[in-house]
Amino acid sequence: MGNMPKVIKGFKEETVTISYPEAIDEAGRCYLCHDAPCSKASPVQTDVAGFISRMRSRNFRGALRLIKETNFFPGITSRVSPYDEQCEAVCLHKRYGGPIRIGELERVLADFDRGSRRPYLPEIPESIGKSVAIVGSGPTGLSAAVELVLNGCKVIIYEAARVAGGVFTKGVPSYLISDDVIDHEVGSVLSLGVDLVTGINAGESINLTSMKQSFDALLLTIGMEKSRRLDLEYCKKADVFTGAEILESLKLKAKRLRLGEKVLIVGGGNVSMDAATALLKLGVGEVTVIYRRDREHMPVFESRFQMAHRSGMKIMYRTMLDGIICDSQNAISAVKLKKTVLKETEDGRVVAETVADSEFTKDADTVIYAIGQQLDRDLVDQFDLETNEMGRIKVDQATSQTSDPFIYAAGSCVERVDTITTALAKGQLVARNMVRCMLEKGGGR
Amino acid sequence: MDVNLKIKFCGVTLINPFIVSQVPPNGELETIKAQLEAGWCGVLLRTASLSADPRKPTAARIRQVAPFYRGVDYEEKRAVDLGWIEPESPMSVDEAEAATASLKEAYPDRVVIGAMVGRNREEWLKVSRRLSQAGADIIECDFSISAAEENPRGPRVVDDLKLMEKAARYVREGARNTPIIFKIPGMLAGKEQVVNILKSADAEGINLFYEPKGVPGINLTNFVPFPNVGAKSTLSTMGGAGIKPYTLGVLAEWGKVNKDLEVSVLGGAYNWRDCAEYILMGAKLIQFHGAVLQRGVRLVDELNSGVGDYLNEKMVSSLDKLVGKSLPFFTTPDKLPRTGRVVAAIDDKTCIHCGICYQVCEGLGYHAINFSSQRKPVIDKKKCLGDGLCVASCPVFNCMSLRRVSTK
Repeated sequence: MGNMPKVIKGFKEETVTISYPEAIDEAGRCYLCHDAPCSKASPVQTDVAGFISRMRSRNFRGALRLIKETNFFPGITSRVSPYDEQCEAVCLHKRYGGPIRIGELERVLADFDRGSRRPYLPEIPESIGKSVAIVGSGPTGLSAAVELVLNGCKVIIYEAARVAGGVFTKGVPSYLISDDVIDHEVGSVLSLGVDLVTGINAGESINLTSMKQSFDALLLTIGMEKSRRLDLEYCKKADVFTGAEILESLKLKAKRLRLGEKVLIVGGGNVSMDAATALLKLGVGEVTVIYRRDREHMPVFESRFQMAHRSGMKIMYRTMLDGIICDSQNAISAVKLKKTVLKETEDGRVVAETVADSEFTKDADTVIYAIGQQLDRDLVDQFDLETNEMGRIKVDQATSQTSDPFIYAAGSCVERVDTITTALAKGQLVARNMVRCMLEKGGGR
Repeated sequence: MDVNLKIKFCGVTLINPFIVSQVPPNGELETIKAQLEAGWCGVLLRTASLSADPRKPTAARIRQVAPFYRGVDYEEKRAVDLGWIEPESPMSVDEAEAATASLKEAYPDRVVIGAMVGRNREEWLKVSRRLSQAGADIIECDFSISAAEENPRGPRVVDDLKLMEKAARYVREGARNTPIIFKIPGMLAGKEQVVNILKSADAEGINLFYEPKGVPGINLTNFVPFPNVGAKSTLSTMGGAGIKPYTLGVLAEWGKVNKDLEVSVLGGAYNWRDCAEYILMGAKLIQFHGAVLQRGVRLVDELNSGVGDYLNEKMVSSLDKLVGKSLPFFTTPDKLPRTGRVVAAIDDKTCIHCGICYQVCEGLGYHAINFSSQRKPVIDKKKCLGDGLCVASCPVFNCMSLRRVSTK
């Protein structure tokens, strides 16, 4: 019965890539299109045809270098980003024999580089005499750091957690990607000469006045750290977690989770599916996901949905959580659910409305919210930054500056970012904006 | 339509025009029997020579190195060509006689071609006489070897036309009524004189071979060329699928001067299309070597089926009718027609919008293909010169073609 503490162990990376002979065949299949659509569909504009062409003549090193020019984290993105919905989706080979498996090719190259004696590191250009502090070491922050360093800036990153990497280290389950890959690719950023300070709560430790004296700019890539929760009445001791908490504790092995045998997960995104998959892999008896709309409205990547589906996840569409019922020992015994009906709004969005008198109960002993993240306002309030109607930091589109021109912001704390590759692209963009603005302002400090 | 692939070559009826040429380590009797069982029309035995000591078994005479084969890869495609270090291993005439007799007894409907070399009057006379008496259906004498005993890499018989004329007459005399063909390197100047000399010596045919010497590649790590034989290498004989177009060119060139000698060909035949093309270019017998090494003896099934279905498709009842059909279309560059206009065409239904045709046309500087933002290539018929590079570069089968347009 419920509430048995589960021993959280790391998972072994389960996804396998294609073998060397298969990769050579696959690269050979590519048409090497003119003005290739795959490159345009890649959020970071990777020269896909270019690297495949190099791969075909067994120039693996050159191919990897070309990828790294636009994506410093190919080992991570090729495992986690939905290439099938990005570059592979527009591959013109689709009609004859299916799209080229670009993600797998990239992964083969990244693994080749990681295993080589001298993994690739770009040359650092001459300093332009600018120095930047970055708060947050998630994909956007790391990607911005790389771009800044490659433009001759000095960079220091402040990270609140014990380790750098943000969603890489906290949010992506180990069965999708092994720690080695993350360590290697995050570590390679530090090898470029980026300084990293971990365990720093920026809100408490960073003084803006002294910052302005020591740095030319401050970049916030703080992501959406707070998990949303439903405002429901239930006893406070009950086992209600957030998806992010579950994934983080699996990943960092920091906490022991008291999980039951009948887990209910609320939400239809990647965090929800990843949590479901992970718990089922841990041996949780029953994991049910409820989602208020239909499959086609779920923001989850197809591959991650399939993974949860294969692991045995149960799913209830058009269902909402309406209440949590606890027993006399303050433990969850059941949940109250309601059915929904879908309606199209005037602006074309599909919203779910609850159906009157559709309430029903379902046995459950653990509830997990995976209904999205929100901005942790501590730092924003401390720096007195303006936010937008979406509750995110407001920035100037052209310069990426916040209401304080010294402070820049990018990534999911500014706008909706769906994939890690997109986050990388945002990091590159903000870095370029920063370099431009810093140089326009003129002179070194 | 009832088709069979029977063809008459030098007066001998073959069940099909596909024969296996034996090169060591191939050529042991058991291997040959397996080939004949599989359905090849016959066998061309390993070259017999009087200088091979009959008291030593063949295996002891083969001075082979290892490795000696090496494939040439192109991108993802393995072994688009194949090279090997040519072994030195003539068969003794005794062995050739024994093999001929035993094969003729076991497979009376198949042909045995006795291959031979000679370096002087005695050898040319004697070897051909002995092979003919042993029952060889045809004798092939190799004129691409050196005639100087003391200098095996010296001038070849074909390089000395007077010597060749004598040699041809000796072989003719020795072989008596057995048909003779002469093995001639395809890339040879003075083709017309060679044909005339062989004709006047009453030869029935020639075996044109094109297996040029080359180096399959170099190991970029240790700089040793392939095949790496104990950190040394040497020229290889190139005889894989990659040499087909050159062999076809050899046939075309000889076809212009040779009207009387029947033609056998060796080099680069890998599938039935190659065979059909060689036949259309004048060959009546196609020797296989590399393809059988790589694909195995069952390859003959594919050849029979492919060429057979092709005859059916063309409504041709016998292979004879196709021999040399392409030769009249072949001419010199100055005689090519310079009138009329050709333009490229794209099949919109097949096109995948890769833009490669546009890219190559831009590269040439003709700018005859427009490539819209919707990625749809459109031929500008006014600018298109019909050169055909786009058709060759299009990655999709049956998508692009060339069309002749009226010039009015």
